[in-house]
Amino acid sequence: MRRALRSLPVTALAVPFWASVSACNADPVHTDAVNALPAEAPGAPAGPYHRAGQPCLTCHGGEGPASTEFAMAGTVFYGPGTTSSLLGVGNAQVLLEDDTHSQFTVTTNCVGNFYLKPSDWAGHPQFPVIVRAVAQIGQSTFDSPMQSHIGRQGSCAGCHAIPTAANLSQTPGVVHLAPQDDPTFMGDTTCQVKPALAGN
Amino acid sequence: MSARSLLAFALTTVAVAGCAVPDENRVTVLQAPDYDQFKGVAVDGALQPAGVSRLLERRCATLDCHGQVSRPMRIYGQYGLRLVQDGSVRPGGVQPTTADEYQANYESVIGLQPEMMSLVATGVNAPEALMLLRKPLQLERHKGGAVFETGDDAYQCIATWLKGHVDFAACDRSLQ
Repeated sequence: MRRALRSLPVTALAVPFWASVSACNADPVHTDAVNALPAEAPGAPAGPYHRAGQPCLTCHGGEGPASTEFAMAGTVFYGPGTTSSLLGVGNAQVLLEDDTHSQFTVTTNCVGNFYLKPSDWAGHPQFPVIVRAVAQIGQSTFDSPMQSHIGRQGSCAGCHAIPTAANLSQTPGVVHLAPQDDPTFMGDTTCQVKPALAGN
Repeated sequence: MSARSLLAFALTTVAVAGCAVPDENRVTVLQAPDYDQFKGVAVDGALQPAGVSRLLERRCATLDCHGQVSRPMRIYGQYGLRLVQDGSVRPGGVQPTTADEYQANYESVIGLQPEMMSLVATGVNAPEALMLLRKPLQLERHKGGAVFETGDDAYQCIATWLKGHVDFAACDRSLQ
């Protein structure tokens, strides 16, 4: 009993200390990046259909706050979004090939989002990676290879940010299949989250 | 003088020396490799398919690597970061690399280690003395890993430029 009492002050100090340490994110740059993201869009709660067009690995890159970790992830849109709103394309195939010539294909969900977990393509990607997006939409086949390689960024939107006046020289625009927007394209109207609400 | 006074004097001297203002009139004379060859123009004036800049643009300057404004070796180009001046709009991927982007790339490359660049350009030191090659060869830490190998086309393109006569065919092959 005496021993327990003697150790009590140490315990009393240690518990709040570790609680405070674990509550802090040690990387302020990461914290700022997470905080800079917009809030969840109404109608598109957290899950595979949320935050289309945003840099997925900011939260899903292993530093949190999301618990699910991705190796690569992004959104495939129909057009560049210059003359109409951005709409994701479902069932598009994203074909990846890394520096070892290992290949992996992942398919977008109905808002255009795709992701692969580290275990999906174990040991890969070994950067640099080349990528193309392929889709059949109605009678049209789209095949859009990326013009340069991916150096090391796992989030498409890490480079392909939605253009704004502030970032125009630093983004090639969103990942898209068609060179121009098509106002008649509605996305997957049967999707449980309307593609237009998915967060862009 | 007591030991305490001596210590205080020493600390004050160090602090004052540490606050010395850099000489704004100092000039570092730089012996740099040829700018035209960097852009892809041969000595006889013939335009080549690729020079050093084009190699760096395609192999190093994606937006997630050296196509970032935060990089000391910052590379602009058609398929990456664009140099925007005077509020002009220059979206990526369409308009070819411009003259001011070539100039900015050149200044970035030769300005990384100006004194060492002079020693390499005048043949005192070997090309591998520069981080420009040490990093992609992984002779020192490079976040992008080993992206060149000694003797390969990318290496030849840069090393021959540093020696004064770029192997344009190697530059072109390095993009294949």
